[in-house]
Amino acid sequence: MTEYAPIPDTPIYSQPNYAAAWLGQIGKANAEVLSKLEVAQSHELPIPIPPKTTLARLTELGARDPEIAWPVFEAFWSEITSAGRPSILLTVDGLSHMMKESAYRSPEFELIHCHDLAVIKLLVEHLSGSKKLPNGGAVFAATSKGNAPLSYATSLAITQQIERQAGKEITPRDPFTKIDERAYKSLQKAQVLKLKGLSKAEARGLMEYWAASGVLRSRVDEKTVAEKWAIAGHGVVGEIERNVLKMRI
Amino acid sequence: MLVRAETIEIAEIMKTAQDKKDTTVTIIDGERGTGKSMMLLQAMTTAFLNNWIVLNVPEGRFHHTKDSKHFTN
Repeated sequence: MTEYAPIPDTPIYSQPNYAAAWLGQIGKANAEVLSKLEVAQSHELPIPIPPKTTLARLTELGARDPEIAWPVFEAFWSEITSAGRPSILLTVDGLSHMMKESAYRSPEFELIHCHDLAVIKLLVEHLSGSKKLPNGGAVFAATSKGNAPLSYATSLAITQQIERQAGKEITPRDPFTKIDERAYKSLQKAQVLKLKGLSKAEARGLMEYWAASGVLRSRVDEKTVAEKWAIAGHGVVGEIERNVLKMRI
Repeated sequence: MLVRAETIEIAEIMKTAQDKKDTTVTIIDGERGTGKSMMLLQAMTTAFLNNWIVLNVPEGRFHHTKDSKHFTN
């Protein structure tokens, strides 16, 4: 089972296991849509693709054999981005995991940058705007949960974009802090949606839902909502949940 | 499920992208506990409702093996 393998004549490495696993997950999640679409292009693949093979079946073929998973993924990607196909949503949770060097090493024993791993490369090309989704679509990448700080490249790119969106002065780069240039560059075209706390009305709606579904037994009134909202750092939803739901019997 | 202002914003971003055949790129940022992962989930729900094709990369190191638990749902 190969984790990564060089693609000849390129600086890129395929990720056979990851591609196989992802194809399987994509096939299952999108079974309804993909089972109604058939392979329309001809592909040079190590396995024969009979006529009328559905895209769902194509994902299965790649999922069960990591050795062919990456070429199959490329064929699948070509199919779903061809004319007349549905729009595509790309979601990434934990953006910072791909904005740095990987733990893999090249034959010359240098660390391979994440952006040179084939699956990540595809995602980054769409994040950076160098590739578009021909039938329209959206890319959403969330920064990680948890306490691990973002890399300087990621946090600076985000800060500057937020400032740009607000028409404020742009924070200059600190010349004395190490920065991953490739990561920084790849995030220059992204919009930023910064989440803060819920509004009091939203917090109230959430608490009323909890009360209606029985997980919250106490009264939901202006005073309780205001109190819980304030304790939760002004509506941080994770904090509201933590504080309020512990009020169950 | 909580529908907050950002849920609607995301749905609008997606609808516009589909109608205009644009590719929008959005980073969802915020402090811990502000609901970032939930926003991704809501984007996925919106996509499935509109018969989009959804490719999701869950959190975790990107180098997984075939039986990684991140890919079971």
